[in-house]
Amino acid sequence: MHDFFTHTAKELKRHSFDYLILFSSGVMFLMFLKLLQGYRFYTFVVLLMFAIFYILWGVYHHAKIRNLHLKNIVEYVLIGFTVIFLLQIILSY
Amino acid sequence: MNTIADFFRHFFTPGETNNFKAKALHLDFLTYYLIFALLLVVTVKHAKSYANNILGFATDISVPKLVELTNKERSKIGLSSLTYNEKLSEAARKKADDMFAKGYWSHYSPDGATPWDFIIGAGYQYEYAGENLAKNFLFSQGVVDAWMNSPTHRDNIVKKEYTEVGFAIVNGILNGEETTLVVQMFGTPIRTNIVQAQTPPPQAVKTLDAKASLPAGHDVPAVLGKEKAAGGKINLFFVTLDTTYLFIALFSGLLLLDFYLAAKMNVVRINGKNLAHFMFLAFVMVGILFILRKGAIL
Repeated sequence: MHDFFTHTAKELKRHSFDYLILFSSGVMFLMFLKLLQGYRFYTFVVLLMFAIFYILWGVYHHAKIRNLHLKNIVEYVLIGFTVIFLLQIILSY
Repeated sequence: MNTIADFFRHFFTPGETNNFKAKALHLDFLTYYLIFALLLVVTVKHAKSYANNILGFATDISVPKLVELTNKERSKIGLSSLTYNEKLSEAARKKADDMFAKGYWSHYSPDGATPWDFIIGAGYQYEYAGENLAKNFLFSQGVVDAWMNSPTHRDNIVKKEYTEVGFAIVNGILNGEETTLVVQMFGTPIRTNIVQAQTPPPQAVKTLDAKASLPAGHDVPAVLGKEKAAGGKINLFFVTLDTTYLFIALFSGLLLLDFYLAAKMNVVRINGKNLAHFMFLAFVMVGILFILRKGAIL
């Protein structure tokens, strides 16, 4: 478990700015969700924006660390869109 | 035995057999998850179209539960329980139908009809009457909690003069959106001797409680509480909600496990950042809670 925390801390420290951006976008996502509670369409737009931002963050981050490969981008796209579809189901009620 | 263990190891942990990344996190599996999500979207869409009895609108609100929770709140401060009254429920149903038909969300209809018109229209002669409204809640507990968190609505629930209550839970399209309306009507039937004596005149003793709360057109988010699906039917909403939560939770766990083991093995890999994926999913899971707390009261 020690390895896990050491590695996590190292990763966060090494890319603190990038993770701060991602964390801030997450906080903004929650703030907008709270503000737009009850408005289904706008909630979906906020979710879509967050997922797209997450994919772009992945591209930016991997480009920055010179590790930008197609499979990396596809990984972010697949996870982002899976989440969009799953939440779209919840929003459809 | 070894084969099963090897399979799980190959599937969930990074190692030589899976290029040092859990097989369940490989791109082909991520594609399967996306297809699974898409199939779920299609299934739910079709189920909603063809099985209105399962769920056109997903709520777990029931009249018996609302009565029980309302009386529970009253008993907390030593008040007597309200008796369920069918005429008040009929008034509540008519009020909900009127809101859908005329497209409004208010105690007063656009043509000036008041809650009391609906109560009298249902044949209920009252000494005191009141109305609480709620929309788009998922649970009975959420509705009552929201009302109890609003002083004006709370006053209605814990008004000692009330003796009877009626409810309507009606689904429909309100201003273009699928909406579940909950109407709660309180009443105290007029006593026969008062009617006979005609003193004081019935109109003079009526207390329009909800009127006091009319300007408070504010939204109060619900507090989530889980109830059993009514009538033992399969509740599609909860199946999909639980599936989504389970999927995201398992996937997040898998990401962390993979991250931990890779760190332990000191493996350098070309792939996305598990920590970033985990952070994204964590925010999404909290976001789902925000989405679920979307009800409004009036």
